Amino acid sequence: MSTAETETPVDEREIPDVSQETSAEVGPNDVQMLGQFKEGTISEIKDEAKEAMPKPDLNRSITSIGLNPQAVEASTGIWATFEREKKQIVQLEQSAVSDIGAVGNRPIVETKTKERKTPEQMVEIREKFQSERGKKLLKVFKSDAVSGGLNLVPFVGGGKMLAEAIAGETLSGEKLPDGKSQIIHGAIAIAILAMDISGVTELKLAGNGVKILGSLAVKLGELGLTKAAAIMAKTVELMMRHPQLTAKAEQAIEAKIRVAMSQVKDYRNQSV
Amino acid sequence: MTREEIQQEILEIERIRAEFEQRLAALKVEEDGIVRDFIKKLEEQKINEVRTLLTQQP
Repeated sequence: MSTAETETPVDEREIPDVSQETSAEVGPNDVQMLGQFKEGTISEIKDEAKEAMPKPDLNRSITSIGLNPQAVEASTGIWATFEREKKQIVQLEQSAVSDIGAVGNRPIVETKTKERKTPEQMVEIREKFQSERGKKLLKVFKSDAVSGGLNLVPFVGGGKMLAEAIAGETLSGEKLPDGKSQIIHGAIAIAILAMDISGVTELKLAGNGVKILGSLAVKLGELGLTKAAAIMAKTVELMMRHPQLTAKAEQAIEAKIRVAMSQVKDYRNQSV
Repeated sequence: MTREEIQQEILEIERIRAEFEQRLAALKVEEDGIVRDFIKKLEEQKINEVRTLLTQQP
């Protein structure tokens, strides 16, 4: 079970409760409360959009492995891609803020009056929105949940872990103490990536990281994926030379590997 | 303004926010894929570079 699923929802803001006597005229306090709720929602949307802006420290990762950032940009166009994403996030934010600002400033359309909900239905809908919002906030925006959650999605998590290994720290800001730890972290990442590339779903856990990666290196070699196999074989040698570091990494990552491997087949059947 | 109208507005605000978060989540998933593909290309470039260096060694 991911850490994200065991944590309580982030959203602690109270939604105004005016479910009593729906046809009664409201006082100035209720109208003021609605206005504050609207402003608070707009403020939180702006914060969420700001938090969601892509901010990968790719130049450091690129130079740390000896490549030239300009050359990488020329061949991949990665920064232009992120600039497009930023514009999309800004447009989403502006649209949501505008729509919320307009609520209450236009006449209620005929269809809405026909779909009038009972107070009980309104409470149920509101609770459903709160629950969904809480889950989305947990899984997408909270740094620790993002870090843990992505690792459980093999293909995506592998790339993220590899980026972390290259950068020397996790998305949560935890430093990987030295080069060897980075390599071992990266080895697990490559294993997860390679699983998805090779379609390995039947591989069983052998009990520890060295055996897992060693077995996977052999399997990948058999499948003709010589590059991934060679990288893992070299890393297995490193792990065998540093058993304490390896054991420490295994304790932290092995549970995630088990879940990732068991989910590879299911993940492939899911649409994003 | 009636309480019911306030409730309707609250629901509408909630609906807009939920839709915003769904679309934002979709963008983040797309970004994950971009990072994944980028890392793969980096790996490929580095491997090719190392291979070239190795073949040039006496």
